[in-house]
Amino acid sequence: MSKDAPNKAATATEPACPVSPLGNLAIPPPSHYKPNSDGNTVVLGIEGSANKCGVGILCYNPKDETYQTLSNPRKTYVSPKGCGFLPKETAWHHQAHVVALVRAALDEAYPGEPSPERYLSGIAFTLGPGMGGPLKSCAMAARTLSLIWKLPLIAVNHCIAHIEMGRVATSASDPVVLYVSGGNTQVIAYSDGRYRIFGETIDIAVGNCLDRFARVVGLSNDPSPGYNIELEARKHTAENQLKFVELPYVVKGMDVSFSGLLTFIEDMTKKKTFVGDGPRENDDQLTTADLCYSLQETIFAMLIEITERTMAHCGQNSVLIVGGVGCNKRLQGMMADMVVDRGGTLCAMDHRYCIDNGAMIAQAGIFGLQYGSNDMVVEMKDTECTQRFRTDAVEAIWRKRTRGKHS
Amino acid sequence: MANKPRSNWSPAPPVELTSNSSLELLSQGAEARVWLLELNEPDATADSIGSVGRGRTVNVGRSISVPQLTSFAQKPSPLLVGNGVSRAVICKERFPKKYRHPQLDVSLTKSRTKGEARSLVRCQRAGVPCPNVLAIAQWPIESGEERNGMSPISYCLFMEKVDGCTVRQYLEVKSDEPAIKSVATEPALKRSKCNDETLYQPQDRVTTVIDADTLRVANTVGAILARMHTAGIIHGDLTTSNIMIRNPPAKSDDSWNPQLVFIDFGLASSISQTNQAGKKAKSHHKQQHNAEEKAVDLYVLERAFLSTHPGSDKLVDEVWRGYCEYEDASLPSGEYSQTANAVMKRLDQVRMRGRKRECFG
Repeated sequence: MSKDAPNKAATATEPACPVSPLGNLAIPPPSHYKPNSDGNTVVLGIEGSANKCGVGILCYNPKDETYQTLSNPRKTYVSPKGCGFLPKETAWHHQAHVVALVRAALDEAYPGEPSPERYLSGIAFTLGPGMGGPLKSCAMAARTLSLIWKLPLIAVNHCIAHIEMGRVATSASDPVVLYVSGGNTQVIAYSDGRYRIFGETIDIAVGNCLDRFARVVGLSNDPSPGYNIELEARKHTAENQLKFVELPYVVKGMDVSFSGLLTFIEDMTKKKTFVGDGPRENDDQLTTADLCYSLQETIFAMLIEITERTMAHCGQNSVLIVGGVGCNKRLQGMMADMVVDRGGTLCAMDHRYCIDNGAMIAQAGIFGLQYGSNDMVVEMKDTECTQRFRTDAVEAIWRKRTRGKHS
Repeated sequence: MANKPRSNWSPAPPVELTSNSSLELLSQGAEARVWLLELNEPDATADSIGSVGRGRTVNVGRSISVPQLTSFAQKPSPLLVGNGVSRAVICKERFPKKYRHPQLDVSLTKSRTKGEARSLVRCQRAGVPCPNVLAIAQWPIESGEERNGMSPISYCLFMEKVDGCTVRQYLEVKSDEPAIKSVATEPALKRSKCNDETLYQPQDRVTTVIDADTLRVANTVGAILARMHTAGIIHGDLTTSNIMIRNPPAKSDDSWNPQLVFIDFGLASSISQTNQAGKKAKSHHKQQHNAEEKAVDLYVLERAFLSTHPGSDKLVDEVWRGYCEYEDASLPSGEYSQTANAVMKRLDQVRMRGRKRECFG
C-alpha cells in the first residue's frame, strides 16, 4: 500500500474489549501457535459467504486481557435494482477485491510496516454456511496466504462468528441470540457445549423474504433492500398513519415460516387496489409504504415471539440480535419493548456483529486457535467450503460446559 | 419468574383478577400468564359449565360456545369447578404485548384465546383428555395506556386445574432417583449436585430413564396423539412440558395406567377430518395436506423430546408405536393404520427438510 493510507477512514475505531465479562474458560498457554514479538496473538480473518467481502485483523493482548479489532475493511457487491446477487457475479466481486482488502487491513493495523505478516499467528476464513462461489474465492485467498506466510488455517462457522463477536463487543456472557440475515433465521442459546438452535425458519430466511419483496415493489438494493423497506415503513408517524393490513402470521412451536406470507403479499401487489407509491385515494387502496410497514410489523412480531419463547424456555434474560436484519431500528425497538417487560436486557446493536465482516471471523477464529479446537484449526485438506453448516455442528470449547438450563 | 411479588407483575393484570386475594402467578410464559386462583364462594346451584353462563356466552366455533365472565367479583361466583370438589381454577391470561401493533395484538390474542377454547372443547368431545373449559373473559388491564385509540385488553381463559406433574418433570425426577440410575442405558451417572454454572464432564450427563413406566407413558402419549389427530386437531406446540400426568404414583407399579392430560392448546389448529359422514373420497391433495400438518406436529414433539431429554430416542420410538398401533372403533378397520403410515412417511420427509435447513450465510 502506498503511504497515503492515513487519509483513508479508519475501519476499526472500537476500544479494546475485556475478556473477563465473557465467562469463558481460562485461555490455555500457547502451544501449537506462536504469539508475535509483542507477545500478542493476532489473527487475520477473511469473510465472503454472501455479498460482502471483508478482511479483519484482531489482536489478543495477554497483558491487559483484551481483544481489539485493529482493522476491518469491507467491500459490498450491490446488485442492480430488481435483481438479487447471484453466486457467480458475487464470486467475481470477491476475487477482484480480496487481495486489496488484505493489503488495506494489514496497512491499517500496522501502518508503514514493510512486512506486517510477521505479527500474525493465524488465518481464519469462513468455511460456511453461505454461497459456494463466494466462499470458495475467499477460502482460496486464505489458503494461499497460509502457505506463503506459513500460518495455521482456522475454519470458522459464519453463525458462530456472529455470536462470538456479539458476545465480545457487548460483554454479554450468555445471551439468547436472534440471528436474522438474508440467509439465516435462528434463535440460538448456548447449552451443553454447543450453540443450539431452538427456533428457526422452516422455509425461507427473513432477509430473503424482505429482499424478495423489495424486488417485487421495485425498491433499490443500495445500500440494502431491507434498509429501503425500513425507510418506507418509517413514513408511519403519529400524524400520518400508514395502513396496517393483516398478513399470514405463522409461528409453529418455536419455528416460523415466511414463504406463505411472501406469496400473500406479492399477490397483493398485483391487485388493482395496489397503487405503488400512491397517494391513496380511498381506504381500500394500498401503497408500497403500507405494505412495507405491515410486512415489518408482522414478521418482526413473529421473530420477537419465538425469541420470547426461547427466553421463557431457557430461563435466560438477555438478548443479542445479530445478522444484517438486526440493523433494523424497528426490530430493535420491538425487541427492547419485549425484553423490558420481561425484566431483561437487550444488548446494544453494533455493526461489528450485525453486518458481515472479517473481524468477526477473526474473533471466532482466535478462540478456536487459542483453545486448540480440533473442529476449527484445520489441515489444508480439510479446508473445502461447505454451503450447509449448522450452528450446532461446532463445539464451542472456549465456553464452560454447563448443564443446559432447559435440559 | 413464578414467585414474583405482586408489585412486579408487569403489565398489571386486570382488576377483576387482582381482586381475588388468593391469586398466584404460576408461570409467565412467552405468550400468556398462568394464574392459580381460588374461588371465594362456589355457587352451589350451578352444576355444569352449561348452566353457569347466566345467559352470556362467547361463540368460539361452529356449535361451540363458552360462558363469558363479565365480572369476577360478582357473587355468588358464576364459576364452579367440576362437581364442586375443587375450588381452584387456572386462568390463562393473554396480556397485551407492547411490541406488537395494536391491531395485530388484539387479533392474535383474541383468536388464540377463542381458538384454544375451541380446541379444548373439541378435544373433550373427541375423548382426548384435556382440562375442562370453564369460561372466557375479556378485561382491560390495570393502568394500561391507550394506543391508537384502543385500550389494552387481556383475554382470559378459565380452566379446570389438573393435579399432577408434567411429563418433563416426571422424566427429570426419574432421572434423579438413585435407585433407577442403574437401569439407565448409559453407565457412569454419578452426577453430583450441579447447578448451572458448575463444570461437568460429558459422561456425567443425565440420561433419560427408559423403563416400563416411562415406556408406558410414551406409548400413551402416542395413542392420545392418534386420537387427537383422528379428531382433526393439531396441537401445534407439543413438548413434554405440555403433557401432564394426573397424580403419578410415587413408586413404580406394573398395573399403572397413566392418566395423561394434554394442556396448552394455544397454537392448536384444526384440519378437516378425513372421514366425515357421507363425504368419503377426499382429494389426494387434501390428504397430503393433512398428513403434512400431522407430521409437523409430531416433528415438533420429537425435537422437544430429544433436546430436553438426552438419550430419549427409545421413548420417541415408543410414542410412534403408540401412535401407529392406535385403533379407532369409529373408523373402518385398516383405515387408521393407512393414515398413520402416510403420516410417518411424511414425518421422514419433514425430518429431511428440517435437516436441510443448514442454510446460507
